[in-house]
Amino acid sequence: MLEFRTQGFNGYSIKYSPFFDSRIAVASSANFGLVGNGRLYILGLTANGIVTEKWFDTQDSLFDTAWSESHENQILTASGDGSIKLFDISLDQFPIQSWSEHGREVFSVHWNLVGKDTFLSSSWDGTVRIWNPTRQQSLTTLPTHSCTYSAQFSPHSASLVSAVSSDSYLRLFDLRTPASASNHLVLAIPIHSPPRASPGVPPAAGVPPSEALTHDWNKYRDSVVACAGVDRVIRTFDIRRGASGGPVAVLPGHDYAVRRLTWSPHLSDVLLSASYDMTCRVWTDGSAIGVGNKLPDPLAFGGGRELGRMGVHTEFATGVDWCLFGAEGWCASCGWDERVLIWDVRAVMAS
Amino acid sequence: MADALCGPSNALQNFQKHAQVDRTLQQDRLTLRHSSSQGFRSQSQATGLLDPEFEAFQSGLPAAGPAPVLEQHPLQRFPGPAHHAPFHPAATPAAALPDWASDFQRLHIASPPAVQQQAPHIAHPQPQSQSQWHRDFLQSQASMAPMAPVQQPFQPYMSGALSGPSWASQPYAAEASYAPMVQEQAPQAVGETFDAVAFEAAFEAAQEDALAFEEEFQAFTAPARDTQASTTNHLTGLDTMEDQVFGHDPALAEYLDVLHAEPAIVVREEEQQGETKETEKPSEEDDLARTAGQLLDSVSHETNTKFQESVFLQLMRRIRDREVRVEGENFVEVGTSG
Repeated sequence: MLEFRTQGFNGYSIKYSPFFDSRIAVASSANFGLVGNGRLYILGLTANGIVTEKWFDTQDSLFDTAWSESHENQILTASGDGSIKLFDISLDQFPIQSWSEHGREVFSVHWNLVGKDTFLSSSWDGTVRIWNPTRQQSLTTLPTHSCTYSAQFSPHSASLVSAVSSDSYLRLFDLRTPASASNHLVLAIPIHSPPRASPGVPPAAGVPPSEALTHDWNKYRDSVVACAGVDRVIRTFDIRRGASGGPVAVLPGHDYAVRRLTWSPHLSDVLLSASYDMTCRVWTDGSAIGVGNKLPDPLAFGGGRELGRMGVHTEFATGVDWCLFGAEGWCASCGWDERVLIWDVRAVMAS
Repeated sequence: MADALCGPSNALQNFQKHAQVDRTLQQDRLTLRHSSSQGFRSQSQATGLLDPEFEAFQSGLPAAGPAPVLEQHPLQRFPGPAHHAPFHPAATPAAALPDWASDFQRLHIASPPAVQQQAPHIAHPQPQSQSQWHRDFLQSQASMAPMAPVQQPFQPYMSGALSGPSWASQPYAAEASYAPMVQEQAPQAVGETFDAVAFEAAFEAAQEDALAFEEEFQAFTAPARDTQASTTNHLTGLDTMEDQVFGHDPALAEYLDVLHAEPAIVVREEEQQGETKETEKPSEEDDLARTAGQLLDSVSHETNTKFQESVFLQLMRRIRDREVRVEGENFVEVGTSG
């Protein structure tokens, strides 16, 4: 396990570069993001451990970051003052572009993985905006009407956008649909909906809606999305089931809210999560053939279970990301303990 | 979906598509842009006013009449044509053309008369209403037969500033005291007086204009300042975060109800104590301390040592106990900052 201290700054989000296996970006904020500045770290993995290749200070807290998919030196940040900034890490100090249309804190940014010419942002002002890095104004605004903590492009389609928000809904927007009163919204799945009743399984009790904080598209199954949030439970949904289909898998286990969630780039059933309970946990959603259902949790559904946990962080764990390169299982996490950890998931699974 | 592109042929289908298009976002963007152009003072008055005249010109009809607002604006670049016609007989060859066109032809001499227009307004202090404006002008015109060159106004301006020390700061009071002096001088040096008065009027108008602009500018920047104030810290986020972290604690819901009732009591107590208590930013600090307290109470049952040693929770503890407060962009200790 490698370790790096983001001295004076509490990590909010961590992302591996899609171009270099040795480069990691961390979005961090002073004073736990409550007041003060932000800092974007660009870290390099070397034989001598983790070193700072560059950092950018910002006026306001940084809550998320996303690497450009089309340019290896460019990276986006989501800021507490409602602005989105594009940095070029070959330059010093200043962003090369800045957009400020959001009225409240921006909580996520995500680059289009298929089209690569657009990115999106989501904000507490209740909107998701689509941008082109060469344009000053946003291309499209998708309203969600509630604090949107996380939004993403589907990794399988350039025009499919998903967002989870504090009203406990997973929304799906298809930008190919004509502009209409629905604002490209094609599906709104209630995350708190109980699993569909099936023979031999007692009907699940309903749960109250709660804020959804994070979600991620499965990298192999193009219709599967995992969501998690304040109610501590990770759920996976198949968008083909529609709005009333209920979750495919329910994975309880975290003691507090789940802040970040990411599917493995190598295995179709493996998830990694970071939570306010100061742990990062590895899960299988039970969809892989041959994964035994050893210790079924009474609240669990769909055959998934926890595979292992990493409890080294001493404050809330806020960011996790898988390494795309090399051996499967390497990942990075950050937290409010001002620490960046790089570790192998297989090590915690063995224990 | 309802707006599928294919389907049975229907004459109204296309129309329906047009009617259903949601343009609200586009309109949002347009209104947002509009606000940025508010700072241009010349645009606000001049733009709409000349349109009817221009339309009249295009349709070959004489203009319906001068726009009333124009004459109130002394620095207006395009003064109303009706008031100019009597004073510029040289321009009468163009009288066959509509007013707008002849006015346009005289455009090169439009600026100096615009200054002169205000002169009678001051030389004769009694008529205040703008409706009598051009009658005044006709009366005063006899005494001001020699037209002054444009360059001269500067000299009288200097003498005026020297004779009345309060002139610059109080234009309206100075006007009253200044006017009689002007009338005294009038027989001796008509041209000079006229220029002084005209210039003062122009200056006054320009000052008003500047004031109006400043107001407009402040109005324009005010919302920006508001948003700045709201985004310099994310303390409201703490509230949300508290929900995020500990939102589903069953005991907490009960506790929250108690807490929500509490502030009212606190406020009442403060009122009873009178206004001796210094209330700098009570609401925000109280909110912060209360939220921190709620957050801590929701983890009070936690036996995990990580939670007990957490720096963040330690900070929350100190905020709750008012040992630390937010100042600017930092948490400062209450004792040291005071």
